[in-house]
Amino acid sequence: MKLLLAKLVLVAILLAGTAETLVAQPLVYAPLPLENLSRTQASNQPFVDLLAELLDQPVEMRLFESHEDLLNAFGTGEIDLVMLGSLPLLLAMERGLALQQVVMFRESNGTAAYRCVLAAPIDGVASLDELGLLLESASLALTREESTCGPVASFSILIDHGLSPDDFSSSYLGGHDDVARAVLLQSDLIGGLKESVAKKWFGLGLRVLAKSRQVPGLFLSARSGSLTSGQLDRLRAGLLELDPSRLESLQTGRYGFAEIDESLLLRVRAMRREAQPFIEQQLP
Amino acid sequence: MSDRVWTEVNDVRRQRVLWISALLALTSFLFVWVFLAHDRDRAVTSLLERHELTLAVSWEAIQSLQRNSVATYFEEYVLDQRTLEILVAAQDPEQIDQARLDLFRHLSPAYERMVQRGVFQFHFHLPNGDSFLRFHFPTRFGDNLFSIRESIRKANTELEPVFGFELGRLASGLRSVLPILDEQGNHLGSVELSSPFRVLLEELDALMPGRDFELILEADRQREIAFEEEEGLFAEWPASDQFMIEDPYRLRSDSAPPLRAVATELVEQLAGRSDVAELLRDAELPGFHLNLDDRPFVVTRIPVVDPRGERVGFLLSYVEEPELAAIDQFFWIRWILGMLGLAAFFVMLYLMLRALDSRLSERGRLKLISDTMGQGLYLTDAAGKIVSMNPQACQILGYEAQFAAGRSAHDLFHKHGENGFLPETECPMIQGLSEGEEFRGETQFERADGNTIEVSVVSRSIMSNAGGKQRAVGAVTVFEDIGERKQAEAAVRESRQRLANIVWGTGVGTWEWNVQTGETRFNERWAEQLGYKLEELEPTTIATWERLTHPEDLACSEEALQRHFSGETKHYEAEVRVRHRDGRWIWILDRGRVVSWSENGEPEWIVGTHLDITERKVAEQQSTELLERFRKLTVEMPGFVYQFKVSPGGTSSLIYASPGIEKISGLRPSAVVDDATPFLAMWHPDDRDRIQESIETSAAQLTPWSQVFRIITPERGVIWLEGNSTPERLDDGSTVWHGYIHDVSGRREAERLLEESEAKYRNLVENAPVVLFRGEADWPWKMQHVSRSIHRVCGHAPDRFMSGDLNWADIVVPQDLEALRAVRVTATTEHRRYTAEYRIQHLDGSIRWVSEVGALVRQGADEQAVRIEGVISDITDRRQAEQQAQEARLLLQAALESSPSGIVIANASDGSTRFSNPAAEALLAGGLERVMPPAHQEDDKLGWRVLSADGTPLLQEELPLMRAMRSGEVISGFEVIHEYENGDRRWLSVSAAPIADQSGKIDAGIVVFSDISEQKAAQAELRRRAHYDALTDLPNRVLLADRLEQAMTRSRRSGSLLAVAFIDLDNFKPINDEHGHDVGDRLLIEVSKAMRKTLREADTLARLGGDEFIAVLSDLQTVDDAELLLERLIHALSSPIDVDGQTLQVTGSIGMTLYPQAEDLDADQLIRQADQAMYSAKLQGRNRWHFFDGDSHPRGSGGDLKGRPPLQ
Repeated sequence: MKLLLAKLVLVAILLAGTAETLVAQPLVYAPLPLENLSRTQASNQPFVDLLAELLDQPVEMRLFESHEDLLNAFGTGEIDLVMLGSLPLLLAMERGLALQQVVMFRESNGTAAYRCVLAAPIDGVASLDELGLLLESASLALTREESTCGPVASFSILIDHGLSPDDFSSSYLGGHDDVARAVLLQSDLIGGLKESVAKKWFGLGLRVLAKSRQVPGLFLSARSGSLTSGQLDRLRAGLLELDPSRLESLQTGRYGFAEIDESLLLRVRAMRREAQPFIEQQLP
Repeated sequence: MSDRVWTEVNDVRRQRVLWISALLALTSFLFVWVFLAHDRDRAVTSLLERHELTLAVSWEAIQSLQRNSVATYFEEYVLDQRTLEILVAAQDPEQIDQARLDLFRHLSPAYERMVQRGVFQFHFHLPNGDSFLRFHFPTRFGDNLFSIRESIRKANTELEPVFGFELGRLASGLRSVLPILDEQGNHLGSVELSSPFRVLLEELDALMPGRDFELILEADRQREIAFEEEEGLFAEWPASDQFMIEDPYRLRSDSAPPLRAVATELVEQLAGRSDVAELLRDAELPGFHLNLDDRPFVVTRIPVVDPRGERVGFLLSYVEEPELAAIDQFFWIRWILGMLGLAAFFVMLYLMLRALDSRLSERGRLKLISDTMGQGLYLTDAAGKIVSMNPQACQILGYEAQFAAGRSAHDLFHKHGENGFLPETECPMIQGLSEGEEFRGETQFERADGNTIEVSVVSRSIMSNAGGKQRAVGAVTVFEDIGERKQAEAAVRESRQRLANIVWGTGVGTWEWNVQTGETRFNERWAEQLGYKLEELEPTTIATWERLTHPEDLACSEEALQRHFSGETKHYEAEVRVRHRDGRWIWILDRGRVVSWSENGEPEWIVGTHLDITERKVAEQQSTELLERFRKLTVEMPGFVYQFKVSPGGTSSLIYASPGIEKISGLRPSAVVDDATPFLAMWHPDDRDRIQESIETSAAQLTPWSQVFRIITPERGVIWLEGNSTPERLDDGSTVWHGYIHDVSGRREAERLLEESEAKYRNLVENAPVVLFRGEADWPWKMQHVSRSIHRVCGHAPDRFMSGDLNWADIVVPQDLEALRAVRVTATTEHRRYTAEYRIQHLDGSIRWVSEVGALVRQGADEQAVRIEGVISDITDRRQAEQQAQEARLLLQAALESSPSGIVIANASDGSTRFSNPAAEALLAGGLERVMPPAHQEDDKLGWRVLSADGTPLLQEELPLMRAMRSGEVISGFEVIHEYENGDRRWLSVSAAPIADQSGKIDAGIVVFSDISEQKAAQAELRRRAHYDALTDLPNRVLLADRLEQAMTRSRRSGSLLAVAFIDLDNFKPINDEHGHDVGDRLLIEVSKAMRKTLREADTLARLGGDEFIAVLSDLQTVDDAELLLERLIHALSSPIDVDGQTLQVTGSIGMTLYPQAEDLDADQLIRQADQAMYSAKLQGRNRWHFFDGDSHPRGSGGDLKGRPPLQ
């Protein structure tokens, strides 16, 4: 009798273990690292719910304070799905991280691309041509190094206009709004920021001096092997064909999704190639 | 009354005592509970009021504190000279934008300091209420705030500072809005300095530690003003959707921290109450007390009002309050003690009540019996004096119990016979009782009103054994009024006698039969019906009856009896024949009913009557025979006989309808008798009113009714009926028609066909498109008769011609008149038919073409009169169509001749050309005798041949024209190559279709072809441009993708290796910048050629764009093969190249990856791997190749690559 009981207990334990492994493990999604973690979490939660629904698997959100931490975690397989800007994506690819692009997030203008601009106050320099005369006091406000509109796009615009980034003293201020504020307060002569943010500050006197070529918006990428090909197809199709009413319930992704356009990514890479020597030289 | 009943009565009494005790107890408990609960509530309310007061005082103190701080900032920063100058400039629309920027710059440092001190909102407004600059949200300005922010409106209109808590578009807060006036007193607008709730919360925490505070806002107000794009800054309060909370996700840095878990749980508990919003708004309620995990909490709230004095929300405070537990504890102790005391009291009370009730119950029992019994009862003592009377005795005798008490019953109401009185010594009842005997009998009592009543009396002595001797000490007398019973018995006797007399009068024989014993009793009348006297038949038994009754009817009678005995019928009834004394059979209606049953349920006595119904039966038989003859007669009739009745109320019914109605209408007679509706519903809607009217007329005038009408039947559809009937007025005012209806559809159909035929003929003649005429043969052709259709042909009425007002020659167009006359003269002379087509002038002025066919006829007895008879028809349309067809033919001919497309019509029989246009001759270079060779000849006899798109010659049966002519196929846009004798080729687009003759047989075919050589060339060029790079002529990205997919497929199939190399030129940009784009482009061309030369024929080299290339190396056996090709590529790239006399040199970095790999990869992934490897090669110093390895162990031409450098 005791032997029988022991066998039953053993079978129960084994079955319990099997059942546990059958339960789908949650996937981990990491949004773009932003300063306000609460806001990031709040604005991404509906999107996380959507991912879980499309993948038919639980999805958890994990927040990171920096791209470095995020990419490290991605490299160690702690993240399955990630939202990345084009520059961090290039960095991830250069690290050899196995990524599969899923979709791109559309911007408020309806496309999956935007422009970076160099801007100055209305009573400041009127064009980049004037900068040649002011180079001694020229300061350039930048967002962050890993931001596409940071040194990569800003230096690229300068180079395109025949100016050398070496002639500017650059500093990182964090957000696009911080750059706009600093320029308007004349803390910096010009600033590099996203075009849509610059438009927002237009009323207070911020003027665009030059624009970059279009750069890709945000990417949703999956760690290779984390999703089955079926899941990947389903996710891609589900996001691209999302009903407009469902889009309205989102904050992140509310403008919709677009097919991956690698040509835009190659463009950012080319811009980075141009800017990289100056970045390494000027900005530690 | 039995003991059981008494037990039940006692139980009821005990329960009543118990219920009374319990009710008293419950009332007392409730009273104590209410008292204690009220006391406790008062204590709790007092505690809550203390909390509420503390909160209100603290809130007021904090607002005051903030007000003082704000005044300092206002004086320091806003009334600053520079600030005022800027605000003066802001009044000028031309300068307002610059002024805003200036103010932003001027006060931004001050704003940062204010933020550190808790003033988060710093907002300038213009005098008209427009937002000028929000330092906390500088990109939003220009919106007018007067309508939503009373404080700003007040400050700018009354020029007085306004303080108070107020809602906002982004956040609520303690607002201080101060008007700004410069030194001259000019109004420059206002400024708002606000502290968010978080700052106030910190102050509250300092004043009231240990509490949680929450600000909830009126949802309607907040939703009205919030910025739509800032949704998420507000959310519904979890406990009620009528309130909102600010920034639930802490999106703003100045938002208050979230509630502690314990307070959140309290809010969740509040959410369970549906009336929480009403409670919060109840000004009389100081707060709530809640329990959480057995811990008491106090929730206090004070209203938050804005400067208008309107409530915009509530400030809630959550705190644990142990005193509540103490109040509760005290309440329960008092309650338990009180309850114990009351319980003891009521147990004692119950026991006392029960004891008292027990004593009273025995006496009550007897009284209850006496009071409730149905008989009169009185008690007398030994002297016969009444001791007591029950209510029933009082009621029967009419005396009050008190009046009767003490009086002698004998003297008061006992009567004996007619004289009414006997001395007691002679009264049998008193005498019997005095001897201890029971008296039982019927006697008479006299009521108080003097009436005497018959009573049944039982009286018994009450014996006492006192002193060892039995003696009567009194008596109990029970009596019952039997007057009614006596009267009923007399009435029954009288009724019986009356019934017997009636039976005798009816002449009905009666019988009684004991079923069990066979005993029978008949009355005299019964025997008389049979021609006997009763005594002649006696002794009468059931056998007497059976002997006289017809044997055939006995069985029916027996069956009816059994049905009655079994309860199936209430009465026994049978019609039987009984032999009369004179030998004939008479019919008897035998009816009866069992009147008594034996104890075991068997029928005992059955009584009944016999009624002679011979006359009725004879009449019925005659009637049946008559009806049968009538039925047979009506069945044979083609229609049906009926009786139709309309009552004075208007209701109608078919009293009778013979079976023929079914043949006509499909309705069975039974379906329409009593209710004619089914038949009336079949009346044709068009005939219904007419029939109804005729029936009413017939009824009113009592005249015969005769109509032909239609009915609609499901099976035959519409049929015609003819009906004839005669009405008869009945006594009740009803009218009955006796009549006959029969089907006349056949006759009607014949009539209809005849009418139609006539109408058709009339119509044909009158409306024929042709005109029939007869007229004089001589000029001017006077018409004797023309058909009406002449009006359509010429517009003139026929009468005009026939009256001689107009002759035919008058309307013939003069140009055609002579020709017509000639034809007519010839026809008249030669006595033959003639045909002429000529024009006439219509009355409306138009010219019409007519055709006239005529012949000569002779009229009159001698046939001397010569007339022309014939037909004239309008052929204007035909003549116009012929003219149009002719014009169309000419137009088509011109179109075909001038068409740029070649058009050939060929005969199907031999392929010979029936028609060809100049374009066809030009395109086919004159070889047009035949467009296809005869079957026995070769194609080349034509001098040209037709090839398919891939260059193979088309067989004869594949030619589009052949397919069209042989199979009837219509071919459109078939592209072929036309090869001329000299070898030149042209692309033709060919369409072909068959042409059938009038019999539908294909006798020819048409082929249309056009030269599309230029179009094909352009398409080829476009295809090339779509797949090849314009500069280097190498495959572009599109073609690369296709080639790579194919190569991957081949690799998978053959097992060979495939290598993808990503090639990026080093230092190309400096050369491009230094020597210009033209040189750069030439360099790219030369480099492409050099690379192409190093690769095998099967390899693909593609240009992605700029200086980026991809090489797809397929069918490799080993990795070494790939490496060899890479080395050759590196070498080719680095070789000096001569461009326009300049020697240029570039190098290349190559990244390579292999296929297949362990993972299933697509083409994009392969390119991406190669790209990454190329980038690594760049990082390693350029002019080298780098192998992408899935395991991140790169190897390449650099030799010492350990991997990529870390990201910066």
